[in-house]
Amino acid sequence: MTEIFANLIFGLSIAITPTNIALCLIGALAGTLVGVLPGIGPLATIAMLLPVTFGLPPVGALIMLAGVFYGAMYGGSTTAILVNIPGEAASVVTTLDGFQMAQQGRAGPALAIAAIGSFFAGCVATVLIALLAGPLTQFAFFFGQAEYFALMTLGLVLAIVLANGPVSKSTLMVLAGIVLSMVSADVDTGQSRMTFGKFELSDGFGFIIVAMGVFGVAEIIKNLLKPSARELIAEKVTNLMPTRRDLADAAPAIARGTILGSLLGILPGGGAILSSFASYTLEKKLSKTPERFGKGAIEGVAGPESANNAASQTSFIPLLTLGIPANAVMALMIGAMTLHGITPGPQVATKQPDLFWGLIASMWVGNLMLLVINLPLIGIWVRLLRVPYRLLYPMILMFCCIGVYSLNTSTFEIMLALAFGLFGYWLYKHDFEAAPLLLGFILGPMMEESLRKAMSLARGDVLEILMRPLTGTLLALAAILLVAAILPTVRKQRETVFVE
Amino acid sequence: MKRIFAWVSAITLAAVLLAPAASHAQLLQQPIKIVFPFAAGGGGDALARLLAEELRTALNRNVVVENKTGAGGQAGTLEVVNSAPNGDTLLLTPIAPVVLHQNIYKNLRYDPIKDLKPVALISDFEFAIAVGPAVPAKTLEELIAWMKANPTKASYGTPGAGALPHFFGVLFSKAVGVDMVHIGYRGSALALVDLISGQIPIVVTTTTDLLQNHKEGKIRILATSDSKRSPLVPEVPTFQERGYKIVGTAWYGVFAPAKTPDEVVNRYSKILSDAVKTEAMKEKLLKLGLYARGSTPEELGKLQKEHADLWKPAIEASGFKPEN
Repeated sequence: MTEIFANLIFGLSIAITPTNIALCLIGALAGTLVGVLPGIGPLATIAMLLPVTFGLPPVGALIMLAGVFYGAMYGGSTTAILVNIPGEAASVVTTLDGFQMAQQGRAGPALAIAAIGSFFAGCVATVLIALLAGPLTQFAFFFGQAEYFALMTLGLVLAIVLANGPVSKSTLMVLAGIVLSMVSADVDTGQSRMTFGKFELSDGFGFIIVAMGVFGVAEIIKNLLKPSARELIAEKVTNLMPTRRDLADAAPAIARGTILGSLLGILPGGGAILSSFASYTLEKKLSKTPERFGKGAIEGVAGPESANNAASQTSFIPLLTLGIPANAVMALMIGAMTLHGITPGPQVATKQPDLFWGLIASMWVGNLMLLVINLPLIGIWVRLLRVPYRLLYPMILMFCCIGVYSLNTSTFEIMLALAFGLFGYWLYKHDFEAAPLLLGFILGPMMEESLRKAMSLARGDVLEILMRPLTGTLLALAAILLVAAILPTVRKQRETVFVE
Repeated sequence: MKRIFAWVSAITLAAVLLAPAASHAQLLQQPIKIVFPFAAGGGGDALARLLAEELRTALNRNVVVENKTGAGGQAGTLEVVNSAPNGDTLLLTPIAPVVLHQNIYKNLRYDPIKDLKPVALISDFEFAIAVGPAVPAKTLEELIAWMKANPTKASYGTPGAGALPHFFGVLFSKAVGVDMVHIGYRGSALALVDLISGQIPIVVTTTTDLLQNHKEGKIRILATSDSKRSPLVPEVPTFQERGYKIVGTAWYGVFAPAKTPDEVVNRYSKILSDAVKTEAMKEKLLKLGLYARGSTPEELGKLQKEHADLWKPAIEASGFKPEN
């Protein structure tokens, strides 16, 4: 216990250096901004900001990128409450009661409770990360290549099962992601695979290019084709303070949302979106007056907002301890670490304690900053919502292009990113979710490498791999989950959950 | 909002006004560009930036480093091969793109001997073999005895397939007469995780990457690959000392497009060689795990050809055969 506190204090000492505080602030503000603005999410923003971080020290870069992520969770609620548009996918449920509260003239308390709930969840999640990171890292050292392969397989299956929409579509997306990731030179023999003899493809598709195309460019096309009327409910938000009654109603919801979000965040594929939905459903079920939900119940704001923030933070746990991304944003963080010469995995905690604990402590610092800064800034965010999209999107597109070009000074890659943008739009048009694609794209090569290493070490003996207790258990679990998700009864239940 | 717009427009305006001025200055004197054909952030990249600083002070000209990555260093090397041979473009490269690739890629788009002109050898470094808790061996002989007794367990990890530690492992495997299976990792760090946890018995990589864990007693370095002992671990014997005729080092060298005038190449060669021989620079390089060298263009050219011949048989025996 004392060790954890010592570690957290060590982390704080790194997180509060002037540079890192500044980077944390920039990240959190940029995150809030994209959270507020509908149409660009944290994924696209992190993808766009990645090249900018090249010149920064790795700790600062990751602190900033993490700030974008949880900043967006805060910002998303602002738009959801004031404009009835989710600024960010995870705040879809917040629109239900948040906007109702705003229409009743209680936008202030709704925003305040969302911020307070998020802050509380952020604090708890930070402590949770600190508590779990050490033991999990130790545990990870027992993992061999076969175990990693099994764990990632389980992760992908979970991502499929927990994704919105039919299992068949998310399976297809994960597989498509894996196939895309196989375009490159074979890891063991150097042979080119699926490059069509193109020299530029011999290193495969850069993941920034895929992410920026599928999330950044596709988002822009999507928004341009769907002009949204924005009705601003509140010109000026006054009276931020929630009443005593509000606090009493919200407090248990915040606590439950935090717990639920923390748990779901660790699971691969779960993350912020699922946890906010789950929290809303839970609050409605537990409430003595479920009829108030959808009509401005403060629990309906407090629970999901706490849950999505807790989940967005605990999803760092598998990344920091095992080097395995739990969701698409974490997949981008892996990319960011790799670009900075850090190999994600259990060795990060021991080899780069400054990065490990600095990042964890910075999350708490960032949450505090967001709470202090954002409530007074709500006026500015509201005004930003009035900037017409026709002025915004050329800037975003330009930034994307510069970002891609700065990676390898290659115009071919810009064209590639734009092509992935069209592909991403096509996916959206046909109701395919792009997040499982990116997850498959990142996990694909890692799984391939682990499997091939495990096979080489076992001299090609599959049974030897399956007989390893941990590997066998994990793979069996994955198989059971997948079968269960396809079974008709479970499928029906799963669908009703997502409908709610 | 208005104020934000005012700021944005002011900055844009300033950028527009300043841009022509900057390009005008550039027209007067192009900066020298050092192409490093791998990503920013590693030791080689740091070396490129150190050299850029030295050239900058010596020539009083702006020097920039460009990380042109792709195809195992081919993209960046090709860029230098195709640039104007006026001394404004240089290549700092590790051994692979200029020594190994012609034996690996059938359709290599350049001939590293004909299309490039050697400038100076900058630094070199050796490899070492280390064992983890999975092997009880304390000496190279004990390791070889263990491998012969457990031939199905004799796998070795390296920082990646198609790199020198991989090929050096092939040389060792042949010299010992045990069929060792190669396991390529993505970088030394990951190979070390598996070595320390006992998932793999043996790792071959640079001595620098093994040093810390060797000192902590988590792994044991059993032999090093140069013809003389490593200054980092002088107590560890070389393969040669133990009777195995395998020697291998890797290095960083600076090259220029083939038609660059000799007087320019000689001038750069002297500046760079003198620079790396200073004590301050030696120390900086050692921190990157590199031994400072320096050479004339001729010496580097000779080394390039010798090493191409040295590694050819190992590459052919390794099974690393990309088609393009």
